[in-house]
Amino acid sequence: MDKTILMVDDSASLRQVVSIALKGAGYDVIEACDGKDALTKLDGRKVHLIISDVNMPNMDGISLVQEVKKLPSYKFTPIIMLTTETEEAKKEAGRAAGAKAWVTKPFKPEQMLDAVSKLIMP
Amino acid sequence: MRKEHHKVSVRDISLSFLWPMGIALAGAVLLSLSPISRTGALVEAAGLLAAGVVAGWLQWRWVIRAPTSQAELNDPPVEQEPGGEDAAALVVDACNPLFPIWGRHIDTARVQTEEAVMSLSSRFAELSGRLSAAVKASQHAAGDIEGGGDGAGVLEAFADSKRELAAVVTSLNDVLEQKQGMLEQVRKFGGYIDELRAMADDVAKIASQTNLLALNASIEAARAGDSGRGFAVVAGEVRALSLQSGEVGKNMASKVGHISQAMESTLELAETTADRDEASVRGSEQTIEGVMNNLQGMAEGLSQSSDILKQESHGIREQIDDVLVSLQFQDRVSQILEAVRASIDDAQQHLTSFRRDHEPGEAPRVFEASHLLQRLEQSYSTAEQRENHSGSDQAGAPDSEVTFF
Repeated sequence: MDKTILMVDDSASLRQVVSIALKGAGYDVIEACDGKDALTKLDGRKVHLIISDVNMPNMDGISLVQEVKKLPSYKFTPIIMLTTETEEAKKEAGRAAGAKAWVTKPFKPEQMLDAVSKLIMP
Repeated sequence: MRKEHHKVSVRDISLSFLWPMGIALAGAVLLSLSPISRTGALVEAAGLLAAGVVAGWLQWRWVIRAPTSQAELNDPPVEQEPGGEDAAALVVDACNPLFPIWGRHIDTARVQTEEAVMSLSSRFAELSGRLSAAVKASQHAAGDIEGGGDGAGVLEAFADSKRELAAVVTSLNDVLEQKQGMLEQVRKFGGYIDELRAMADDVAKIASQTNLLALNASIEAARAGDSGRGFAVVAGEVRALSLQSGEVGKNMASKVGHISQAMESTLELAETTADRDEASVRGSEQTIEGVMNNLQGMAEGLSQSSDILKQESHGIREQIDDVLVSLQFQDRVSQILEAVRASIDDAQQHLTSFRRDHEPGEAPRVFEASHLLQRLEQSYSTAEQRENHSGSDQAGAPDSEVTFF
């Protein structure tokens, strides 16, 4: 069975670029445009990994990580933050919330796929 | 220290606002005209627009009546042109329609670049997919040339075919040898025919001699008179037998002659066929070798083509990956524009509020813009925004970095 990844970003073009890289490597991708949309899209589905932007409208990436960690079904789902933010304080907030990795944009597809393969649930 | 610019007229104010407005307008126009493929041009245009807006604020602060220090706040200027605040209100009213226009230009630029980038990325995804399909088809057609995949490999299959065809040629040669052996046996039969002919001649000779012997015996029996009469009968019978033996000998010679002729014809035919078979087998060997050489050339050519396609495919994939990195700058540019857009809205609201709260003839008030700058700074999400804000040298977008927690 193909592994499913939830991709959360308010930029449609960025979601598309990430999807191209992930689908090219054989992953199924679900897209969400912000934190709230991501929680709706989860909806009990089997998701093996979440990739999320940090700065988004409605619900930002850090809040999304905190909310996901409260859900029993997704408590152990690994989350990668994908953002333009390079400030240590933001990175620390992501780590404290429970994210597993911090990838800065623009990302190289090879690096992203490497991070995904290391963290994705079996 | 008191600043002379506090003594301002409507004309001064209008002139002072002209150049920031010009910069901002130029930025807005450039933003609309910048090619999507040049993210640098988009950022520069957005920067020009932002610079115009910020210059406008600064002019407001410096030209109208924005003291920059607590000392100035405590010691406000005394030489104030009557109607100065009304002039400021006029400028605010004049500038207000510009803000939504700038905002719309920025929105248009963002939407157009996003649509273009999505279209580009879709095409690259399609290209990548088609490339993968072409490589897969090529490898499938070549049966995975090196034989490392699921297929046996063309070169390996070719070698197997060559071995099998060599076995067929060997088998044909064996048949040819067996035929040659059979031919030798038929030639040996020719020798037996001569022996049979000699034996038939011997039988004829024996019959002739027996006939002569029987004749002599009849003569001797006649001389003996009555006592030799029985012997004469025996001699007559022996003579009759010798005549029959002579006939048998002749028949034998005749049959052997027929057999000999038939065998000679058969031998001649078999030798002709054997020569033809040998020529046919040698011709087949040469044809098979020629065909296999051609196939080998084709298989090697196919193998080389497949290798080249693989290498090219790898290079193209790397380039597509680079394109995917470049396309992400649209998101970065969009974030920068979004911050500028939000700040323009913020500035408009603040100016409108400032204008609304001002009563004609009211004592001059300070136009405080520091919180606008603060909010703008808080909205930043990229290193280059912060560098632009502080005016430090731009290091450009940082390289991609992965941190595992």
